[in-house]
Amino acid sequence: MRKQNSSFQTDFISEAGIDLTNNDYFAYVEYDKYACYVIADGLNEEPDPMSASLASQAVFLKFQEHPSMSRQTLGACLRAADKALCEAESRELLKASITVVITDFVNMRYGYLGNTRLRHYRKGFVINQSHDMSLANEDAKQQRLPEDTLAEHEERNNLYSYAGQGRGLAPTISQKIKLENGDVIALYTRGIWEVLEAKELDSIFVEAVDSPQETLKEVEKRILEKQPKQLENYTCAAIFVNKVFLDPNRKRTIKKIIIISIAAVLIMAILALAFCFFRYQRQKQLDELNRRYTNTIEYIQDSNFLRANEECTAALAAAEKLSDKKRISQISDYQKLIEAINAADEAYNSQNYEAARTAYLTAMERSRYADRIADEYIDGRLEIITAYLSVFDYIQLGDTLAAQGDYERAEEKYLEAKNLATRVYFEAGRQDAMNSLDDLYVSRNETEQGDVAAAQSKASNEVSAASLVAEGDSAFAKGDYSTANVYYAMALEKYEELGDTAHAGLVQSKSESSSQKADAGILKEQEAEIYLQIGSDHEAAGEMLDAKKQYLFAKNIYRELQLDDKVAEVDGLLDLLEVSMAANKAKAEAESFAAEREAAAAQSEAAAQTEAAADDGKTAKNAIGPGVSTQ
Amino acid sequence: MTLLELTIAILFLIMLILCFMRVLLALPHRSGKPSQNSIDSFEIGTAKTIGDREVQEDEYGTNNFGEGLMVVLADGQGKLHSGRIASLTSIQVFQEVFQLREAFYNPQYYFGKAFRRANKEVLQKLADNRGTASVGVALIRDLTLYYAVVGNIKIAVYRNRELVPISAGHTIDMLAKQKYQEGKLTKQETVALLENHRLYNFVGRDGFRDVEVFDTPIVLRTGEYVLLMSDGVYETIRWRDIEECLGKEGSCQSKAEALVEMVDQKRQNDKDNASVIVIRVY
Repeated sequence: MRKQNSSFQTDFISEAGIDLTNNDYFAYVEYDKYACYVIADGLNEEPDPMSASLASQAVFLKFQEHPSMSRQTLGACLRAADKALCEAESRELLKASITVVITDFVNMRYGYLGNTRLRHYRKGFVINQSHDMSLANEDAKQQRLPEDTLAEHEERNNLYSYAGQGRGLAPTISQKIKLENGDVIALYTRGIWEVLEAKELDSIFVEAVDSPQETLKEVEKRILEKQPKQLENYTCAAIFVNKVFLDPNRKRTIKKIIIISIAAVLIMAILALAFCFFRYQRQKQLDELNRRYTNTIEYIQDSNFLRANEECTAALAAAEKLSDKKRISQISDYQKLIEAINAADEAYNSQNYEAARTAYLTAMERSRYADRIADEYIDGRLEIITAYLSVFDYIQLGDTLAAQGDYERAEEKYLEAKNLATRVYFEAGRQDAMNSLDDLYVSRNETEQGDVAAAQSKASNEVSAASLVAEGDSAFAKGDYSTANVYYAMALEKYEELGDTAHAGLVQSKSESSSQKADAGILKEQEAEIYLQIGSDHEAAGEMLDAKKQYLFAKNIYRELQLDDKVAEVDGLLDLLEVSMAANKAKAEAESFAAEREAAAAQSEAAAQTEAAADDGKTAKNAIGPGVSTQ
Repeated sequence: MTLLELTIAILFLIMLILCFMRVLLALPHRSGKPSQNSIDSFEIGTAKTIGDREVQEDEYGTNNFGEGLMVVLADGQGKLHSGRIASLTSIQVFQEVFQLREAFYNPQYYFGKAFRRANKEVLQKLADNRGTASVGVALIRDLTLYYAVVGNIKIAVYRNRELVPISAGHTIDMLAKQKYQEGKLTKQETVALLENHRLYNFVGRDGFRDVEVFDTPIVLRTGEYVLLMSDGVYETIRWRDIEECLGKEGSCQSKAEALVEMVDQKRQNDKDNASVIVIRVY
């Protein structure tokens, strides 16, 4: 419809010049919505294996795939031409300059590679033109210095971009250009612009009003008039835009467009507002979340976990509103940490230190997932708890040692507990330690006193026991075995009380010895009594000498027994006996009187000795002595 | 010296070493044949193959002096060994002529002289056997290329990744173009003859006259290549393949051998002798 409702006249001229073959190419295709015009100039030496036509055909094929006036389509067409030349099976690398114009009968866009040219005329002015992709220095060209073959070749092929280049292809593509009625588009190759200058060409096209054929004839005429020495292939195409496409439904279309645009703008505005509002809300929530989160961290750093819990709960709520899973997870970890610490603090404040330690260790585990933010606090608490428990342990150890009576070591433990409690400002522990120390000192004093008393008692007992033993030894030495036995018995009792078994055994042996001695003395005394008795008998029998002899035996025994009184007594008997001997009669009466008195005295002594022997409770042993007969 | 100064000194030394290495790397790389093929400011590589023929009729020779380099390539044709004799004779003549120092300073004259003498000697030697040769000669002095061709030896210069033929040659198609330019042939007649690559001029021909000699010496640039090829090379492999081979890294000798290798690998019946000389100027 566009093509039918517009008027685009196209014509061209293309000649070989003096060359054997025409390596230029121009073609165009007009669809309903789009038209495509291509002009190409083969750059290979003769005979050119159709590089221009190959490139042009590639452009048309690409254009047919997706007719469009977009920059991408134009670029794709030029790249297709480049690819076709690169991949062509030819002896030489194919090269060509090419210009492509695409129009939708209202606007146009053009692209080019190489040095084929385009000029766009409007109302006598050149409003658009292409620029050669040439490395030529125009000044050097003007000088026309004699050039060798290679330099000439280089000059002719001094393009930095052309179809067939391969890598580094950089086509030039114009903006979309609006066409107007009366516009003229001229496409031409090197054969034209090498002969005709731009001004000459402009003068022809500016005045062009008729059909393009006339204009092109004029161009060819001007070229041939110049009679160039070397006229190469030349091609010129002219597109006369007599009438651009006007959309009959233009107004309606414009109105529709405006309505749609307004609606779209409104919708966009509403969406934008909604988006902005949503973003604002979200940003606000995000700010709230960040604020709460920051507060949480700050409170944790200040060790205020109660407030931190509040802020963390609020932050979690904000994160849930934002549905930010990552933040939710992160804040949840913080919350778990805070709760664990609060639980541990509660146990700590309740002085349940064992439970508090366990709880703090749990909190430490939680802290791993919370950036270890509370590690310092937890470590501090754990150190304190460890110290407290150590204080208790020291006190307990001290108690144990004190109970065992090791007051010195117990004191050490209590002092350690006290010092440790002082270092960690554990007042209760310090007080416990102090109390324990006080108790310890009291106990120790009592013990010491008891020990002293016991020692004194022991000492006194020991002294009295020793004195008793000494008394017993003294009596034993004196032969007073019964007395010695009494002393030994008392001393034995003392030693037994003192638990001094050694001394007790010694005393026991002494007592036994004394008893033996006492028994022996008793036997001796009995023997002496017998001697006395026998003497008495003899004296009674008038056997004075026998009687004296017996008395002497008895005296000896008494003397051995150290019974001085008995000795004196026997002496008396002897005296009497002596007296009696001197006077029988008188002596007999005296002797009988004396004998009666001696017998009574002897009986009383024997009774006293018998009582004494019975009091000792010792069994009589056989007395051993000279001349003693046992009964 | 503080640590900072020491560090700077070490870095400076490393930079100097790297610059020195860079300069060394920038110097032309010479490999392949020994220095007898390498002249002060040139690097030369040569290679040839017999193709499917029974006799190798391509020959080449070089003369080098302090002033410059002369290389000549001859492609013989004829029965039995006459082609080979023709090419060898031509080579010898050129080498003898260009023994003179002044020949390097008047190449145009001495090219013509050498060609005429070669033609004469070939005719004398091969009067019965009719051996002929295409000969191409290139003389390089002060980065300037002087050339002359009789026959279909192709001389070309590789510049900016493009191999540009310098010589036209004495083939029918070139003659047709020339005649067309002169107006002696119509366009149609000329076009019809464009595919005819038959020789119309060669050394060892009665009435030998035409020698294609340079109009303007070719000013070369450092690093460019000059190629002399027999038709066995440029008729067998594609021109773009030659350009691609020259564009790769490697010595002249390796490039010459690579070109000949491409000819050998080409599946074609009755392949002609192929020879190539690759010269790189510095």
